[in-house]
Amino acid sequence: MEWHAEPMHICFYPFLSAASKYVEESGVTLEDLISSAVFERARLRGKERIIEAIKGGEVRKPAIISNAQAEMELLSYPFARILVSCIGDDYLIRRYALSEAKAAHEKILAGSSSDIIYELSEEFDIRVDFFRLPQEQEQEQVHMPFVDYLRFAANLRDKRWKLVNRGLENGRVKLRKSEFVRIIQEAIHERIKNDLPLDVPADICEAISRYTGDIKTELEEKRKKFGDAGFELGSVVKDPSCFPPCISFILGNLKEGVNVPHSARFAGTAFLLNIGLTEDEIIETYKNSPDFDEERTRYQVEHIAGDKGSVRYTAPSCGTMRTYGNCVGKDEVCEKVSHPLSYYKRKLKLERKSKKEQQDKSKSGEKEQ
Amino acid sequence: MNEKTKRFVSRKFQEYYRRAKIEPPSDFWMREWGFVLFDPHYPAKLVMRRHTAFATKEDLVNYLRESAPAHAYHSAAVYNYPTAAMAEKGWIGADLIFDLDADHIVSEADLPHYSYEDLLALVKEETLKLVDFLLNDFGFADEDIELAFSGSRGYHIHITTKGVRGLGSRERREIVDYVMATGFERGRYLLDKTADYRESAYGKVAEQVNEVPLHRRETIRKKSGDLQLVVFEGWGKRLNKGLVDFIAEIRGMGDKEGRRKLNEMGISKEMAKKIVKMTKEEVMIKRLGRMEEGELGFWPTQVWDKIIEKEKVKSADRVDEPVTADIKRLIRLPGSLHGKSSLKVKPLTIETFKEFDPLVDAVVFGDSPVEILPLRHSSIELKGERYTVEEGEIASVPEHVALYFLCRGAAELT
Repeated sequence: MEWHAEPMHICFYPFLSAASKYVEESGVTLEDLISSAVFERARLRGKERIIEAIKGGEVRKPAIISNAQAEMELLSYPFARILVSCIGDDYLIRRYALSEAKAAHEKILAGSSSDIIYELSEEFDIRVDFFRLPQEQEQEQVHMPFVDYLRFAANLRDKRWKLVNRGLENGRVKLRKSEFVRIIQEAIHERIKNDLPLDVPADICEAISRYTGDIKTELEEKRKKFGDAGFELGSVVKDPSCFPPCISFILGNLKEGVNVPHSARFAGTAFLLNIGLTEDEIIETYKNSPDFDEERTRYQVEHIAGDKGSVRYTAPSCGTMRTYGNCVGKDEVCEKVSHPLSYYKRKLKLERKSKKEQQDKSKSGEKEQ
Repeated sequence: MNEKTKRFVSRKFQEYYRRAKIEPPSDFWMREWGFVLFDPHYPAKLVMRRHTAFATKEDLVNYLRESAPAHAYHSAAVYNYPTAAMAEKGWIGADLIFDLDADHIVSEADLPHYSYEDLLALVKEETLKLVDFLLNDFGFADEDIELAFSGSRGYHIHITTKGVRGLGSRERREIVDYVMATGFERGRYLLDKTADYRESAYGKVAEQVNEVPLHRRETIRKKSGDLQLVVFEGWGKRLNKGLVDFIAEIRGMGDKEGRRKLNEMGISKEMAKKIVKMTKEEVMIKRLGRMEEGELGFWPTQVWDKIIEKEKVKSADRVDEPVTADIKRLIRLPGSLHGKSSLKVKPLTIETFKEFDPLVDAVVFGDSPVEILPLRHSSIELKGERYTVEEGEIASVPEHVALYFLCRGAAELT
């Protein structure tokens, strides 16, 4: 299959070398891309890619019905990369790379043909074999070299991705097709993330500042909404500054899109539930996680919350946190408690007390005057 | 080690390096080298001379002949600038190195209860297990696996194929975890057929059901607690084979003995009785056939723990695990001598490893008599002969025995 002849196909996978080759051969210069009126649509779409990443965590794939549209879609990608590079924010880069990768992942899963999976395997230099077991249509299996598997799966924290929990024979790891597509997502993510930020000259960044401005605003808003402790507080007034260091660390990592082990997610989720956040608010905090899967997360959160007839869990104690390596070091309040929830209560009390003292002080100050 | 002894040992090492034919590792010019010499500090303080490199094989051979080091190492990694400071070396890649030492297998507390010979036998067994993982699970070819006796109490494995060079620490850690069964989840391999769809004692089931080939699915939910193997490769194969071996072991024991073994594993008396009876029934033969299909029947968790314990590559709970995830470490140069034993870090292949006896085959020194003054009671069997010396009693022993005791610090020259 000759890809470079089909913009309507490759525009969904603009990170492919065939896509950049297409753009290169189209003769559109950087100058054209950033300033020519013809490409305004591509630029707006480029901006939209990033805004979608910030807002929804996924770059939606539009319906493409013409070659012209496909070309704009294709060109919007390099422009988006220029925008992200000009802003140069680490969080934005991670978030953007993840969103592009997730979107590609969705697109692959939605497609009926396996061709794209073959092509992507080739693109990422994964020597892969596909097997269709007799009479078992849904059981399409993928065997890949363990070295390639480790290259991409070592970042996935769920235990099911551990090599020790995988069928491994003659150097080849056995995967279900959908699992392999998940591995492909990692490969895409790595590719997009690795060469960002691009080294964009200052004058170019200056020339496109009207696009970056909107993005920065959006980013700021997201930051404000999420608060410093890194999670969305929604309508419930809770004070993240009173969270114990371990919980702040977990939530901070989630916000940054750093993958967090299952035990830590459990601790974070249970803690937030215990102090009164709703399930939706909690799911929102997990959206940045590299292997976020809304349905799965919802199931897990609901499970901990006690829906579906299961037990309601309390956040793990300090001892358990230490066992799983989730204790990140003590502060002076930690010394007095043995449970993250006690920490929170105690710290809240202390805060209130010190606030009151301050008020009293200023009051007595007024009196003296 | 007094000056006189040190001079003698050093001279003997030099004689060895003058006659030895040492094959440098692949891409040796891109590796960092490190040596401990018989210098004035030795052995009170071991000064490692690091960040050295050799452009030609001749340079390396000449260096070894001239300085006759007590210990010689090269990096597992290859670098752009092997002599630069660590941060500036420019890491290109590293061999996959496995370092199995008796220290890792026997806990420190138990170490004194084992003789040197016992420890060597134990570590050989673990090495064989590791080799099996490397060949069958990881699919390396026989010739990819270069073994070496460590010169002391263990074995090293070097894998230098191109594919593994680029693996990072985290990826290497996954390989370590694989052979040591760290993070192993039985539920990924064994499906409890009667368990609740979502959750069972063996872990989450929902996604596993998809793993069961369709033609086997009707067997699900058949019999209480019966287990279905859902992954037939790698560890799945080991669980299967381990169970068959276990059954054969119990079957071969007397009833009482079998029950006692099971009790010792923490299995209840009642259950132990049932298991012993079951293994001896005639239908067991038929059931073993079904086990090949993955229908394993019911076995308490202790049995699985035992199987995993037996199949995995062992390591005591130490920080330094048998396999290294460190991508910048130094490893002993195969063909060099170990300064604390005088034994050769002997390069081996899978074939020669099987028959290898370090206490015969790693001995490089001769038989001419040397008088030594033992500093403590010591004993060793070398080249099939046992030598025991007592503190303060001057003994005349063959040179290779003398050098062993001198290097161990158990004796001085008279």
